[in-house]
Order: sequence, then C-alpha cells, then structure tokens
Amino acid sequence: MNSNVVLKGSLAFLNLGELLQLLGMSGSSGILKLTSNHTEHSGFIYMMDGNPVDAEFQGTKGQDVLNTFFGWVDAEFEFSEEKILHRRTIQKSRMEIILDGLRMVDDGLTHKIGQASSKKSSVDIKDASGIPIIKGPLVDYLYIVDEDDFSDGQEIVVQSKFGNWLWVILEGTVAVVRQMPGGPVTINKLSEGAFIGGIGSLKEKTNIRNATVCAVGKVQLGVIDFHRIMEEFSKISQDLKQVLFSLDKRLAQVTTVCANVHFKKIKLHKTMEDMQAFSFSEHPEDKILKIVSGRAVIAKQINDHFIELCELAPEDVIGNIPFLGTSHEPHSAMVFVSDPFQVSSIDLIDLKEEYDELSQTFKNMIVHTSTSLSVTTGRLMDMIKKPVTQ
Amino acid sequence: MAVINLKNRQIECKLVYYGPGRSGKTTNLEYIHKAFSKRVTGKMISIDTEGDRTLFFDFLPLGLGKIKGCDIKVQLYTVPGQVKYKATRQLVLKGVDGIVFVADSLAVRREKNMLSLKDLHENLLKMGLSIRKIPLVLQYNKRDLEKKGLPVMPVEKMELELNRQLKVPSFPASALSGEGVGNTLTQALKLTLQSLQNEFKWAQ
Repeated sequence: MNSNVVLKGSLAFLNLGELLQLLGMSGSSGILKLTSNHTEHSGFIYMMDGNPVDAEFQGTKGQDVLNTFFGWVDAEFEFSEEKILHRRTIQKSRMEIILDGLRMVDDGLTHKIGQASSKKSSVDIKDASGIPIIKGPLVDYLYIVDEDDFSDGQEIVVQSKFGNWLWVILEGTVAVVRQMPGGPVTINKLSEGAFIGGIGSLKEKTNIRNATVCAVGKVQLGVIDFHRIMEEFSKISQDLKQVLFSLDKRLAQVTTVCANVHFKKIKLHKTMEDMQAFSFSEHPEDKILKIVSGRAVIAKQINDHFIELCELAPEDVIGNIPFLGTSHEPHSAMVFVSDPFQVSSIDLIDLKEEYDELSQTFKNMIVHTSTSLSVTTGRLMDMIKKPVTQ
Repeated sequence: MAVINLKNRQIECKLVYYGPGRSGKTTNLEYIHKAFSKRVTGKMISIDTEGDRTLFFDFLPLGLGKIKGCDIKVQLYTVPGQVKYKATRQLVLKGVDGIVFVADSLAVRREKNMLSLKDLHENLLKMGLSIRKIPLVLQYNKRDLEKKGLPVMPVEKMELELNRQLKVPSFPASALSGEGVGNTLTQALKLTLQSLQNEFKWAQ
C-alpha cells in the first residue's frame, strides 16, 4: 500500500477536516492512513471519489470510528491512491461528516488524542498499563559530574523529604509515584533523557520533593552539575524565574489532581463560584500575564462541568508560552479569575530571547517540566473519561 | 480565498452567514435553499449545534458570469454562535470569501449583535483578514416582529451602532417570510465575486 503514497504530512498542520475537503475536491479514491504516537495502532479511512465510505481502527469500522479520528490532533497522515472496493459503512456526505466530526470535538464527545504542540523534543509513549512514559532529548555530558546506579524498586527520591539533587536518566526507566492517603499512585514513567528533580530544586535550598521516584529495573543516572545550573539560574531575569516557578507549581498541583482522580476523589463543578471566565482577547498575543492581585483557577471543561487543574496566586503567570507549549490556556483550558483581579504583562519576545541564550541542559530541564505538565494533564483527562463521582 | 477546482473547472468560494445565536442565520439559509432550489446542488446539511444549527449547502449563482472560463460555485455556511464551537467555526471561516452578518432587530439583543460583530472582527484577524476589507453585508433581521408589538430597534439606530464605521451595504429583512433574504444574498454574492475578479486580475 505504501507504494502509491501520493500525499503525506502532519494533522497538526492540516487537520482532518481540511484534509478531507482537499481529497474531496480532487475526487480522490484510496486509503488515508493515520498514525499517532499516542496510539498503538494506525487508523484508516477509505475514500471513494472524494467521499469517505469506510473507516477502520483496531478491527472496528464505520461512522463512529471516523468521528473519533477528528480527535487525532497530533498525528501523521499518508494518502495512497488506489481503487477501493469496499462495503460502504458510511452513508453521510463529506461535508456532513466534517462538520459533525468537528462539532463532536467541540462538544467534548470526541476526545482529543495528543496535544496540539508537536514541536517538542521530548516524546511520550505509553507502557502496557497505559501509563505515559516521558523521554527527553539527548543528554549533554558536559553537565554531568557523576554517574549513579540503582536497582529495581530502589527509591531515588522520596516524597516530602528535603533534597535538591538533579539527575538525568542515562539508561532505564523510573516511576514517578505520588503517595496519597489512599495509597501510592503511579503518575507517569520517565526514561532516557528525562530529568529527576526539576525547577523546584533551584528555588530554595530546602526543596521538598513532591513525589517519590523509584527505579523500574536497572537504572543509570547522571548527576547534574548543580552549581553550574545554579549559576546560570542566578543570572536569569526575575520574569523568567517567575515563569519557571509558576510552571513547576502547576505541575505539582496537576499531579495532585491526577492522583485524586485515581481515587475518584475529584469534584466536578457546574459553575466556578465567585469567579468569572478570563478572556485573553483583550491582551496582546505577544505578552503573557503575571498576576498582581487576586487568584486564578485553570480548569478543563468536560461536557457541562469543569475540573480544576490548579489554582494560581499573585506572582504566578497565565497565558500561552509558544516555545514551551504547556497545553493549558488559552486553547486547551479555561482560566477563571476572582474579582478583583489584576495582571501585569511580560513581553514574550524578551523572554524567548533569554530562553534561547540558556544552556541546552537548562532548556532540556524546562522542556521536561512542560512536557510532564502536558502529559500529566492528558493522563488525568484520560482517567476522567471513566465515570467519576461528582 | 477561493479555491480553483481544475477537475470541474469551477471556482469554489465561501459565503458565511455570521451573527449572534438565534438571529436568523439558519432561517436565511433555509429560505434560500427552498426558494432558489434550482440553483442549489446537493442536499442541505444540518448539524445540531447547541443553541443553533450549523447549515451548509452548495449554490450556483446565475447571471453573475464566469471568471476565466470557470463556473462559480458558492458554498453557503452558517457559523455556530456558541463560543465552544471553536473547531467548527475555524473550519467554516477558513478561506472565507464573503460574509453576511445577520443582526437581530429585537431591542433586547442589541448587545449580542455588538459582541458578535466584535467576535467576527477578532476571528477574521486571527486568520489575517480584515473586517474592513472582506466583502461584507449587514442584515437587520426580524423586522416583522414590530407588527407583533415587540420592541424592535429602528434601522437608523442599528445602522449607527453596527455600520457607522464599516459603511457596508445593509438590508432590513424578515427571514421567516423571506423578505430581504434575496436582496441580501444577491448583494453579498456581487461583492464577493467583484472582489474575486479583482484578486484574479491582480494575479494575472
């Protein structure tokens, strides 16, 4: 089938609605194959004279399968031209399929798979039990002062204990476990290139670990030159520091929410009491906002309800940072704010320039935090899809 | 940005009916679909979106000539009003060639009209389009409700509040009875095709 591939690309660039319109206009017949890092199997759409006639995923066929493909926002496509002799399982017309498919995404009936930002150097896959595995980019050995070996089950850091050592995984996999009153919950797994200990380690000397990390099988870690990172950190602007701390704070809170979802101890809100939705449209796109007074809640919408991801306070930062891609507001989460609420703006261009100047290891560490945030958010949304107590 | 379909030698352009929820966008399109059925190709697609329906069908305008020997096909759409229909709205507005803004004449909907027009302005900006440059026609719908004793804003007032800066053609209408629907559509098509003609000339 690959021999006839006439068109390929990324759905993050050309979404499925646009792609189907394009293939429809040219009256093409053939097979559209979709591949995503977030699913084990590929999806297939069979097109006859520009109209989808059948869709297939993991042995299931038909219109419902096709509808779910509109949620594949971060996937690759390949169209191979060939004669299609297929039983028609889809009767709707092309535009009806597209408009209805997108409507279901907007209505939250179709779950989005993968985040829209595909530019990250870190990739995440899932293990057999569906727990995401976060990998990191290539390790810069200049920043490694020592190597540490751990055996299966050994704890590397312990939740609630003090410590600010930083490691990067050279070989093997570790599990990030949040200890809860109901028992431990594995939030995600980390593999080669990912960091153990993050921005929080730089914040204060007495950093408290917010999760336990233990080895899964044999693990080799590189100890990061803490003084070198600290020296770099001390030179960055207060604005960038604030952005990083706020990112770290989000990750800690989202991790707690994720663990609570596991124990079904999560509240879904019909409305966000005493708060109002915050609109970014009044603020320039090249700025992010620092909270001066009041508080903000970042929430995701599930059908008619909201789930609180984290609560932010003065000095925290809201808005989209394109080069970090946290998959939260304004596109993938809503912001609710207290009244009164005041913000000041931080220039994104200045911030990006400063970020670009950082060492690769420092950047990798930041990207790791934002990837963890988006993967953990994705995981908790996946878990919520199963019934939760309201 | 119209699409040239070389296979059918057709130029496909997109005319979108925009406006606040329940202002009569779908009623406009339903009337067009019924009254001009000979020019409609394919069936009307109707998607139930909360608070409104999203409609779509293809339309062949007659008597408006050809561009470079190609027939012209117009895709008519309504856009879902609710904020949450982001993906649908983006697809509908992508590559839009002309817009009919359907405003609600009911006095209580005054603010909704303004917000929706502002929203259109922002959504167009996101796609690098300007509300001042895109072919645009305003329609002040539901004029008939005045006869039923409901408080309706005078056309002059709506003109002042919505069209003072834009200065685009505007039409009073009662989409339910079809009054003003045809005028609105004809003017919108005329402006859209004129703009396409200019675009193609420029490209020559």
